[in-house]
Amino acid sequence: MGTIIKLDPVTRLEGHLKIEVEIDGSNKVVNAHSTGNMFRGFEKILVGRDPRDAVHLTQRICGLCPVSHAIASVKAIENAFGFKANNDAIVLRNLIQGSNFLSDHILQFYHLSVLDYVKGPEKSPWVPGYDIDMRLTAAETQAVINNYIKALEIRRKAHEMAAILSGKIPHVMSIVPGGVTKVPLSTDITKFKTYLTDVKAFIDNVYMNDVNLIAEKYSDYYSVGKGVGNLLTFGVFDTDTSGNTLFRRGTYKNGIIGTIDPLKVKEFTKYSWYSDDSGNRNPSDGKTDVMYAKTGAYSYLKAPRYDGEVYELGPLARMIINGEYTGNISVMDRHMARALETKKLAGQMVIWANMMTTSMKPYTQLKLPTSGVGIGLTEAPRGALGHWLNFSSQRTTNYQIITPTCWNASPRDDFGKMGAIEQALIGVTIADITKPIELLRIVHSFDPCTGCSVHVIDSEKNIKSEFVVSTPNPMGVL
Amino acid sequence: MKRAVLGIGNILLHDDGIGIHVINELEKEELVGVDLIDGGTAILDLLDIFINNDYIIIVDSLKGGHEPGTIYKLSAEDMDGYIKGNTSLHDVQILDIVKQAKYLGFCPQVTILGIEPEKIDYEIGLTDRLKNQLPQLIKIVKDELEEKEKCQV
Repeated sequence: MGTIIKLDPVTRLEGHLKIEVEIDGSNKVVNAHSTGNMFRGFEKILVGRDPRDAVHLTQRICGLCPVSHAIASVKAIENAFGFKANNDAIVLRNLIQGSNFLSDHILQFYHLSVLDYVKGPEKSPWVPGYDIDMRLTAAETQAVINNYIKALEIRRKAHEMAAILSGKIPHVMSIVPGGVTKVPLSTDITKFKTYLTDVKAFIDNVYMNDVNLIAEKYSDYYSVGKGVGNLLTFGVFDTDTSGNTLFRRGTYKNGIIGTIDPLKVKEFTKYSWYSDDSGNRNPSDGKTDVMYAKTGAYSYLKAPRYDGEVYELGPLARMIINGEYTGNISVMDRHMARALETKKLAGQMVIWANMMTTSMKPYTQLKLPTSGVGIGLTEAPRGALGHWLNFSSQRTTNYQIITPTCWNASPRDDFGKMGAIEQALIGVTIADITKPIELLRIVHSFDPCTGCSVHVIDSEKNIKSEFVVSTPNPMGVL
Repeated sequence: MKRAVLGIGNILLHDDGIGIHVINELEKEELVGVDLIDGGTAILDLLDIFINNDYIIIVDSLKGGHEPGTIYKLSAEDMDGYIKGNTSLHDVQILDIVKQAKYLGFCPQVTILGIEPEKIDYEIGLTDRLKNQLPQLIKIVKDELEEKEKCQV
């Protein structure tokens, strides 16, 4: 057995992901394991509740893409009800979800990825980092770090945009089965457009320049981290009421674009800490029975597959399948496609923003049927997201969610095929095994997020009694 | 002085949701001139709270090693001493957002009111022990707000 390198946790991503690779005598990665080590059992909470509760509860799963969960959930419910949201609702939903995409892509580049390529100042939150293979000049570095700070302000504006139309931040309140409950006021429309102008200018002039600069200096990363080579997207941003989307749904395999049949999505659990009976199932009939310490298993993530094959998800998948990106599949192609998608989307949002009026009628009252089955497919910024719902006697009987990181960071499936990130790590040569920056660059390019969980502040040592202001009364009486 | 109470945590995870429950309770009262924010777990998106306010109380579950239900009060600076250096490169924590605001030139005063959780598990609602402490925690939040208001006059 060769040398093992572990990244535990992989830094600069939301949540907790462990990567373990094995290298040969020439420091080339020959084996890889990706481990999601947080159990996600939120779906069980939904069972027995009114199916409409899922819109607000599933948003709470993730702090990064609550909007996409709201959209997937509302689509699953409307699909079960046999309802289609009208054009006014579509425009408002697109603007809310689009704002989240802009904010999240800028976050992914500047705040989660840039430090893999640019040396930050010698102070928190920029240290510690791997300070090797930094190729920008001092002046270029300073410029990018200034933009890192500017990007915080821009993200805040994108966040405001979503808040203007969603009523409450950060969990959106206005997206409900039946449409959108908030009709914009004229001041909302003006404010939204002002923010969008600033955000769009930043994307066009700053973000694009910085991505181009890094892509130029690190052009060798256009041939690093290819991985499986298959791409998949569920499509996102409805453009009409008959199911057409700005980014169309599809697969990409051996250079051929294919269509998607949701019944061909299956999750496998041979290498996951779930019972074997939880595996080999379509999510409409999904099951999540935990079985920690199962022999051979190494992750809390299941292994979702399409038609038995491994697929990579994300902006690169959307852009290639949509014919908007003609490059290849690699670390740098992922960054480039994400930036170009951000630019395209911001441009499209100007058009949608101009469709907003104070006389929109985006909401239709719906009556809850007794029973139903629904699928909600959309995209989170980091890839395809699906919600599957079953209910009877007006109560949810099963709810299953497959997040994009589940696909990308998945462990091996029942056929022994590695997940997308695992495959992308194979073959890369690590220059300095004490600072395996190549691994970070590959993992970050997928924008993984497993942050669907706890946010308790955890102190390193016991807090001194001087900071205690109240102790619980053992009788429970105040 | 612009004041805000920011509750963070996950209501789907038992006691982790305490911050949100506090916000929900405070929303029933007539608090004048105070922004009440349900931050959920969207830590990375809360930057504007620290830019738009001068004084922020963060209510969260806090594992500080005392009995479940114990309430702690610390400033952001006090809290910093209890967190491993540079956690920002790992899970993004709320204190890093306070730092980000500083880089943008905003330095609001931040008080953390934390409560020791009993259970963090997949369930909606608080354990009885924290439910019993909820009125006390709310009282402390209100006392803090009042004190700040007096200081202004």
